[in-house]
Amino acid sequence: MAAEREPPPLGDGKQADFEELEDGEDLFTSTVSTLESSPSSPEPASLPAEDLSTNSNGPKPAEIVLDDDREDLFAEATEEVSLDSPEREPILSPEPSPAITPITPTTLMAPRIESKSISAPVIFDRSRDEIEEEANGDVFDIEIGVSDPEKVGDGMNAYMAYRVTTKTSLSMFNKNEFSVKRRFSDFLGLHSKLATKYLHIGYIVPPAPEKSIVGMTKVKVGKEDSSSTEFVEKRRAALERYLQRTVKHPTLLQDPDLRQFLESSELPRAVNTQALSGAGILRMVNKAADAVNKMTIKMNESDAWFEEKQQQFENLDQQLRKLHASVEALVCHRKELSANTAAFAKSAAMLGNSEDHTALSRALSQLAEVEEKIDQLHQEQAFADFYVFSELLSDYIRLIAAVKGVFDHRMKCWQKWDDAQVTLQKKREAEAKMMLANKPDKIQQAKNEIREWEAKVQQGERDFEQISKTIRKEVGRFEKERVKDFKTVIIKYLESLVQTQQQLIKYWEAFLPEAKAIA
Amino acid sequence: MMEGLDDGPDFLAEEDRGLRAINVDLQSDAALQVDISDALSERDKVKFTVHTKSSLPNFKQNEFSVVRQHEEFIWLHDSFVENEDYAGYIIPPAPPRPDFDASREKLQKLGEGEGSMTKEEFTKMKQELEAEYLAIFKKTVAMHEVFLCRVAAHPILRKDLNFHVFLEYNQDLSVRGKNKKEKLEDFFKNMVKSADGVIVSGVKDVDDFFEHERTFLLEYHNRVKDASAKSDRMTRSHKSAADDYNRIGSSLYALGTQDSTEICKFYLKVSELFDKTRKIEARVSADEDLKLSDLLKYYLRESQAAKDLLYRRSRSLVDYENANKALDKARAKNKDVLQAETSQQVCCQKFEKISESAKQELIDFKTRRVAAFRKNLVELAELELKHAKGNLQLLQSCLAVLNGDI
Repeated sequence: MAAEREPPPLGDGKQADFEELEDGEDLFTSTVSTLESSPSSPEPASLPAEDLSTNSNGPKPAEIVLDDDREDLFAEATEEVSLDSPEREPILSPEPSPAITPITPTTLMAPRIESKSISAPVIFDRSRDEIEEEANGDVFDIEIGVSDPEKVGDGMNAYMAYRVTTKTSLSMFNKNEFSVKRRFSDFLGLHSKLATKYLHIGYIVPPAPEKSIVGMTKVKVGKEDSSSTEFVEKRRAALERYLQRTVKHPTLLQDPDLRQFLESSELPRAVNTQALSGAGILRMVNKAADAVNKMTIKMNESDAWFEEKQQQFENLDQQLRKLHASVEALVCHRKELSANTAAFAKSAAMLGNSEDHTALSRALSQLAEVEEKIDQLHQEQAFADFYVFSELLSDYIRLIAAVKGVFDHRMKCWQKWDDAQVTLQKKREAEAKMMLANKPDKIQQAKNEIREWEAKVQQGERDFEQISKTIRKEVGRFEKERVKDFKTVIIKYLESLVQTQQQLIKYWEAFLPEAKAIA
Repeated sequence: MMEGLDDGPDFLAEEDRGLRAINVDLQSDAALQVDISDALSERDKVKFTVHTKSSLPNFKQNEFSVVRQHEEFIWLHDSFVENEDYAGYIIPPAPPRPDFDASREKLQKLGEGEGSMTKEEFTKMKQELEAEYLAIFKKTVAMHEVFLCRVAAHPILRKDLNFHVFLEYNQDLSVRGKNKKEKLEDFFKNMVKSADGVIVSGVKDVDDFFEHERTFLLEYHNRVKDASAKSDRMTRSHKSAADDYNRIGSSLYALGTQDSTEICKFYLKVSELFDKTRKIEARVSADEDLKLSDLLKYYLRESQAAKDLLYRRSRSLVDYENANKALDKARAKNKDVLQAETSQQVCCQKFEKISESAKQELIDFKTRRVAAFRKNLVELAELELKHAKGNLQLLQSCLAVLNGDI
C-alpha cells in the first residue's frame, strides 16, 4: 500500500531514476545503481530557475530536508539564484546535485523498511557533513553590528532604537552594506517568526535576549544613571550576538523574514511579542500545556544516540549553570574590589597629606595614585569578566534550552505518529467488525478511513524520521559551534587577564623607586 | 632580614622578620632577647611559649621559657599604663585578642555542607580554610611577639619588674580577666579620660614642638584609622575574588571531565590555570594584608599610644599650672605655703620629666614610623611585582598551549 510519492525535486534528467520503489531489496539495488551512475560534480549554476517553481507546489515536509541538505552544500549556489517565491517559506532554494541525490531516497525509504533504526543513513550523514564542511569554509560572508542605541519618544511609550548594520557580499541581499533602525520588540518578533517556522521541524533557532521590565522602565523613565547605561549596553551586546548567531545558521540565513528584518527600512510592529497581549497569553498557556504533556509522553526511544545526547545536554546545562553562577560572583566581587580600592586610594592620599615627613608623604601620595589606577584596571577586568565570559555562558544556557526544546518537538512528533498508528489500528478493527456485520456502505466508509489513516501514519513516520535527521545534523553543527565559541571566548578572556597583569607590573615598577626613596 | 620574598612555607619566619622589624630598633641586644618560640591553639585560647635569652644578673638563668596566655600580656600592658613613672613614655600598644571565631565558623559551615559538594571541592575548600586558620594563628603570634620585643628594646621599660616576672615566673600569673565590675570601672575611667582629654587639649601649649605634634597626631590618627579600615576591606574583596577563581576552576574541571568533544582538554587546561592563578591571587591578598593592612593597624594603635602620652603630659601641665595658682593663693593668704610649694615643685618636676622623655619618644616614634612604612611599602611593591610576573607567566604559557592546540 505504498502511497503516492512525489519524486524528490531534481534536475530534469534525473527523474527517471526515482520510480516508486517497493521492497527493501529493490530499494537498495536501485540506489546502488544510481550511486554508480551518478555523475560527479554538481553544477549549480546551470540549473534552471524553473526547478524552484516546481517545488513551490504543495511542499511536503519530507522535502524540506532534501532541499536544505543541498542548500547546505551549495550555499554558494544559492547566492546566484534569487529566491523570489514568497510561498516557499519553509523550503528554500535548492539545487539538487547529482552527487547527492542517490543518498536521499535511501534515507527517505529507510522508514518503510520495518526496522525503525536509522543506522544506515548515519553513514551518509557523516559524509555529507564532511562535504558540507568543505563547502561551508568561509561561505558566510556576512557581518552584523548592533550599535547607536538612542531613545525615541517620551515617558512610558518611549523605547530604544538600535542601528543594525549589515556588511555582506552575499548576493541575496540588495546591497553590500546597509543599516536599519530596529527596536527590541522587532528582534523578538523576528525570533518568534523563525521559531514558529523552524523549531518544530528540528532546527535549533537561537533564542532572543530576554525581556526586562525593570531595566526597560528605568530607561523609559529617563534615569540617566550608570545602571541604565549598563543595561542598554548589555542589551545591545546581547542583540548583536543574537543576530550573529542567527545569520551563522545556514538555513535561517535563507529565511525571507530575516532578510526583511535586516534590509527593509520599515517593519510592521510586532505586537504579539508583548507579554500581556493575546498572543502572549496564548504562549503562556501553550507552554504550560507543553510542560504537562512532556511528562506524560512515554516514548520508545529506539535510537540510543538521542538518549545519550539528551543526557549529555542535561549534564552540560547543569555544569554551565554552575560555572555561570561562579563567574557572576567573580564579577560582583571584582566590582566590590574596585570600589574598595578607590576608597582606599582616597584614604591613602589623605594620610599622605597629613604625614609630616616629606619623603614618606610623597610616597603615600604615589601609593594612592597607583591604587587609583589599579581600581581602573579592576573595573575594566570586571567588564571583561562579564561581557566576554559571563554573557557567553548565559547565551549557551539559553541555547541549550532551545536544543532541549527541539528534542521535545521530536517527542511530540513521535507522539503524533504513534497516535496515528493507534487510530489506524482502531479503524482496522472497526472495518473487521463491519465485515462481520456485513454492512457494505459502512465497509466502504471504513476502508476510506483506513486509507486516510494509513497515509497519516506514513506521514507521521516520515516527519519523525525527518526531524530526527535534522536534529542530528543540527546537533552536530551546534557542537562544532560550541567548541569554536568557547575556545575563542576563553582565549579572549585569558588575554584580558594577561593585559591586566602587564599593567599591574607597570604600575608597581613605577612605584617601587618611590618607596625606596623614602629616607 | 629583607629576604621576606621567598614564597615557601616559611610563612611565619617571613612575618616574624617583617613585623618585628617594623617597630623595633634592631639592636640584637645580648642583654635581653625575647621571642615566642612556640604557640598552641586550644579550643578557645592560645598558649604562647615566651622564650628569653638574657645576660642580665637579675634573672636566675641565662635562658628560659614560660607559657603565657593573652590575658597575661594585657595585664602587663595595663601595669605599664597605670605606672606613673612611665607617664612620659609611649607605652607599646597591647596585642589584639586572638580571634579565630570567623575562621572557626567557616570550618564548621564547611563541615555541615560536606554532603552538597564533590570530594575535590571539599578537599580544596578544607585546605583553603586550614591555610586561613594557620595564617591568622601566625599573625597573632607575631603581634604578641612584637609587643614583647618593643618592651625589651625600650631602655626604661625593659627594666620593669612586672616584665621580669612575666618573663620568668614559670607558673600561672593568676591574672584573671576583668570581671563585670572592673570592666564597668574601666568604662567610666575611659569616659572621664576622654572628657578630660577634651578639656586638657583646649589648653594651648607654649612649646611649639608639642603643639605641632598634637595637631599632627590628632589628624594622623584619624586618617590612619580610615586608611586601615579601607585597606582591610580592599584586602578582603581581593580574597573573595580569589575564592571565586577556586570555584570557577572546579566547575571547569567538572565540565572537562564530562564533555565528549575535543573541548574537554581545553577545559581541563584552563581549570588547572585557574587553580594556580588562584593560589597567586590568594598570596597577593595575604601579602597586602600583611604589608599594608597590618602596618596601618599597628600604627593606628601606636598613634593612639602617642596621643595618650601627649594627654598625660597635658594633664601634668594642667596640674602644674593649678599647683602654681594654688601656691600664689597660699602665698597671698600666707597659709600652708610650704605645702603648696612642695606640691608645686613635685608637679613641676613631673611635668619637666614627662616633657623631656616625651620629646624623645615622639622623635623616635617618627623615625620608627618612617622606617616601618618604607620597609613595608618597598616589600609590598616587590611582592606585588613578583606575583604579577608569576601570574603573567602562568597565563602566557597556558595561552601558548591553548593556541597551539587549536
